[in-house]
Amino acid sequence: MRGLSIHQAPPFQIIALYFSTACVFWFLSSLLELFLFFKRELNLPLLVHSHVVGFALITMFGALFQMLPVVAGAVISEPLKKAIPIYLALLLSSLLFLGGFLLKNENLLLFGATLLMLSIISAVSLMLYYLLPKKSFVPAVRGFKFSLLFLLIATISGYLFLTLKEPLFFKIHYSFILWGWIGGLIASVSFQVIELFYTTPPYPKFFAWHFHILVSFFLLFSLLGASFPYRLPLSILYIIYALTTVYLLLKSKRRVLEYTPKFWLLGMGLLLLASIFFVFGEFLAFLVSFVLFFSSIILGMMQRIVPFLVWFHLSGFGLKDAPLMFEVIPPRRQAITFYSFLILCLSIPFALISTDFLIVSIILHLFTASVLLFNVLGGIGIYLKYVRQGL
Amino acid sequence: MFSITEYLTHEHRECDELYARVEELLKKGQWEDAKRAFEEFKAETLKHFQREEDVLFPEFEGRTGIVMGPTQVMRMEHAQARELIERMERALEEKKEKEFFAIGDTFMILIQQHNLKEEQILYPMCDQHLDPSEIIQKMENL
Repeated sequence: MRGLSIHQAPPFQIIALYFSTACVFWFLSSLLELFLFFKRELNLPLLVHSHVVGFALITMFGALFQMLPVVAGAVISEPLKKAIPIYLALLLSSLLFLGGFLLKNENLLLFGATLLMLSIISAVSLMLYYLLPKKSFVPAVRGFKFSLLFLLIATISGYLFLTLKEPLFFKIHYSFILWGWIGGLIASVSFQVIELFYTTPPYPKFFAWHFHILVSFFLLFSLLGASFPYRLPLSILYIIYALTTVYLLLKSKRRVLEYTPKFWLLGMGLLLLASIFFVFGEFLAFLVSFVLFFSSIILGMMQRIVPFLVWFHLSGFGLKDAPLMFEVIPPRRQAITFYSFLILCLSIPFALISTDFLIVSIILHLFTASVLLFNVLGGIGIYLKYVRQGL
Repeated sequence: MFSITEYLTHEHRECDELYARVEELLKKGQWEDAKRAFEEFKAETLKHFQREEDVLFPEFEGRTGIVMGPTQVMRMEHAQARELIERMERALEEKKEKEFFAIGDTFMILIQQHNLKEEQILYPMCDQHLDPSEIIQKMENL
């Protein structure tokens, strides 16, 4: 009886490894911002990819290893033997890829991009191999399948842009990675967790079931032209999604002390902004808002998943009085990340107006990332302490 | 005519609503009402567990021969949930609001990921292998 849960659930080491690495990347991103600020250089590709690859991609792969068995019933056999090589490949290739941007070394960039593409293709293939045969009983499962396919398209198109310099591939790359993979995956997760975790009414059934199909059509439509009307349907779809999520969260029957719903609300506000900037062709403002949107959701979810899994695994090992979620990451420490991230978001418009103000935003990022790292590593440390003591 | 998935998923949502009511009353400082609401929540949740452990799981195991599979994991998670319910009850009796919310928070995540596994994996398998009307009748007779 004792080890059963552990055999069925993916090992805690996977989440611990992926999430802690993603937090380190987010922290390093803030240091990179600081470095570039003092060099008076705006290396946008480096900054965007350090967030999208180092922080979001690694977090999302870690989360998928955890969610596939629970949400979709897609149990990856011998998960550690598969998750760790993928992790190492992702880590190495991400570092080389980001190093290529940092050093402006074309060969290093291409080498890193090749390795990164192969790592992503391996991870996506593995997940789809287990996921595709599973029937989609809920919209989230269908969403996972679509999101992984979008990631595949985004990765290959990014690589083609790097090698062929054809602008269309650049457009496909950023559209599919942001709206398709990141937006699509976050929407899939929300269709499952918002109703269940916060006792809200469900998302409208038709909307949730057809969301990713609509994203596919509208993404393709947005590629047909450069003017305003081509971007409008995709933007409207995400605006409807964000407003629906806000409405549902405000209808929540639960009275929680933790901050995840606030992270979701903030994230949805940022998604609304990103959708508006996107449709008006304000590319930089769109990018910044979108990065803040997914960062908000990741900050909230990561600080829920780690404490729960620490308790769940220790309790599953038979530890009496295993530390509860609030003891692993107390709400007041979660609150620090929320408010510092909120102030960071509010500081950005000033930073866009005056570059001198940018230093405030960067320091806020550095501070939020440090607290997040402390919270996540602290949680993992609690788990390790008990395991080392033999429970 | 309900399927097993529909019938038991409906029970999950009812239990969620009952738990949310306890939190709402506690936030308003209505301790006595919260205790009564908690009793209702506890009774419904334990009844639900009993229906699964006494009827659904043995029937499923008997029909499929899968004994050490998902049903065992579900039983173990029921045991974890029961322990948390006991701790929540103690916190309520001792009027320790923060402690109640701390335990309740862990309980809700445990129960929701548990419900997900049942709703996405186990119940559809039960619908596939068992006669839903017969099983639902047996569960209602408890």
